[in-house]
Amino acid sequence: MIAVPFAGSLLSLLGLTAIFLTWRRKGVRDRLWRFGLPVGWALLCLGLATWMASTNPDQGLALGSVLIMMLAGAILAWQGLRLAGKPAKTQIERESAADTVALGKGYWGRFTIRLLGSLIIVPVVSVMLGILWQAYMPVSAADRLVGAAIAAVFIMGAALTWQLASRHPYRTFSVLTGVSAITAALVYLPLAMGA
Amino acid sequence: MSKSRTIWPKMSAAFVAQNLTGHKILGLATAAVLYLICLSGTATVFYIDMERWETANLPEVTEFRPEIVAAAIGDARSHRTKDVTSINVFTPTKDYPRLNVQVGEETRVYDAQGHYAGRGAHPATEALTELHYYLHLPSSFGMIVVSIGGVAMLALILGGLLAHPRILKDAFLWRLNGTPRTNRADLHNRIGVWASPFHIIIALTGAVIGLSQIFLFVSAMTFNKGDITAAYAPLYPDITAKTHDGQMSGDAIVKALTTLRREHPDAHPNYIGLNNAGTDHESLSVSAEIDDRLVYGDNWEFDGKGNMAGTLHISDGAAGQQVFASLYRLHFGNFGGIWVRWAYVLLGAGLCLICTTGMDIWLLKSAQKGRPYPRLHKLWTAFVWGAPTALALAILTTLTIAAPFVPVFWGLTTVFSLAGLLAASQSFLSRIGRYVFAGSLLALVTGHMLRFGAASFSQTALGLNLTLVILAAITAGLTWRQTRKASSSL
Repeated sequence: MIAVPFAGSLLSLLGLTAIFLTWRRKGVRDRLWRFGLPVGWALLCLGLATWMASTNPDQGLALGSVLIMMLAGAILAWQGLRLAGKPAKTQIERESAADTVALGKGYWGRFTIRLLGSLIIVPVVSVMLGILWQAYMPVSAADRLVGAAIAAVFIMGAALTWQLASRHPYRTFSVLTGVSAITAALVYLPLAMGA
Repeated sequence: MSKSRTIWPKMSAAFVAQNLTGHKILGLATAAVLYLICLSGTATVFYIDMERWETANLPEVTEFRPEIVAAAIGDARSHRTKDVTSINVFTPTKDYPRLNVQVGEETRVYDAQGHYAGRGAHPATEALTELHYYLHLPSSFGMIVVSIGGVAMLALILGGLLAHPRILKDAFLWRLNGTPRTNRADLHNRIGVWASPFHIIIALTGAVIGLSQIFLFVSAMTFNKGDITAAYAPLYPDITAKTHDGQMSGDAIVKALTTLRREHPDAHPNYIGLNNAGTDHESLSVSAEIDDRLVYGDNWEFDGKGNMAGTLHISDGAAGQQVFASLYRLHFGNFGGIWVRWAYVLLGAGLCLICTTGMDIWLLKSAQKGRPYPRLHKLWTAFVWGAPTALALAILTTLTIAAPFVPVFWGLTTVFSLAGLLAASQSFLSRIGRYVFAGSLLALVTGHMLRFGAASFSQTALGLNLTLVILAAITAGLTWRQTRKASSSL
């Protein structure tokens, strides 16, 4: 059955086109195009759902996602080679706002705590939370184990982002250390008491 | 500034700035390692095609027949030394039409009649995949380093998305007429946003594949008194046959494979392992791909007489088992055939571009603020084009003169990167680097033709050779176009 994946592809293409045209037509203030973005994203979701229905949901979701990314990449490539169009609005110059790090007082202390947090506390807190997940999640043993491993990696990424981006790295470091200690207590105290 | 409504949560400028700072610190610290991981990962997507390309003179087997597998195992037995206790057979599939049997360190290739056809060593492919898995470091340590790279990539994606308050509205913003920095920033952000599902999946699956060993170790120490096998049991319960039926005959192997085909017609064997070879309790493990599924397959065990002893139920078991069994194929694009692999290569190239543009943005911004780093910029540019060139030349020398891949690759990467410091300007270096890279790809194809002759044009090798030629032409063509545009605008 090629009709269902074809429909999924068509919906994805329509969704991307809606998003692209909304952006090109400065549509955010236009009556007709004010719904361009939500409609576009909704069509993309519908396209994915159609792909999932076309085969097994796991493979359908993967294939549909790859297709959307490739179509968006093709639009960008076409833009790069053919168009020199200007966007709907001037993008805020947020990049310049980023350079706030200066070698002022306390720089090296903050640098050290960020480094220690990233290399030691972030891995510890994520593995501890993963183990907590494995100990208490009310699902099958296999689901607990795999869920815990994936959660640990995801938490590691999120905690690393937080530790590095935080304006108060000492505070973040302390919170992560505290969470590690509490989690370790929740896991290992019952085990030590023979539970 | 617009006050129009948005469905995206509002973010303060300070929050955006903090996330960008974190994104920048992590990006600068890991850019080179992540670039190498992404570059080798992109090339590794075609590893099954490259294995065939590297042994283009060996026969292909399009049909899986139990009889030829039994014949190949029978022949491989006679080449087994006493210390080798398992014989591993990689059976022909749609994507990999080869019959390879691994006995100890040796890989033996068989033809469609089950006759020995030659050695199936592919050292260049092996070294390429090891670069991606371990960065050529000692395997366990290297895998942890690469997995931490996956976590860093995940953190970069999260930080990047959080630092992007207009992510939905700016979905296609690309200021081609802007400054080089805004041009690169837009390209970095657009690829980063549209391909983010791919990036998240790649980073997450890569990190989980590598770090699961550490997690399992901690889990085993916590819940199983250090017994790793017991910790793994929920995913891979022990289903090996416990009977003592002696050595497995060819008829028993045929019976096992015929039974599997009859009872599970949607399962296509891709791996068969003869366990405890040479003992009185030989058994057979069969792994088979399942149609239209992301899981790598399912596993069945057979006793020495060819009777089914059990199955792991990976494809229809707990969700956790299915998710874990899908990680590898999701990471390498090993589902949906050649078109998905192509898509993965293009998306992987996009990821390499994100690594390089990220560093470029910082270098250009520093220069704009009066803090230029011309040497670092040249070093980075030389590394960006030197690493893929070194990769192509290392494969070429391994293929043609059996040179050791690892020292050639790392030596050339270092030499190219340092030589970049001698260049007159970064833009000149960037142009030359691209032409040299394109030339190295053409040299690789030429080397393959010299080594394999007519087999370079066979179905096995032609696809990859054409791909390399097209990639060289696109790289050189775009560089020429860019140079001409730049000189005409002066």
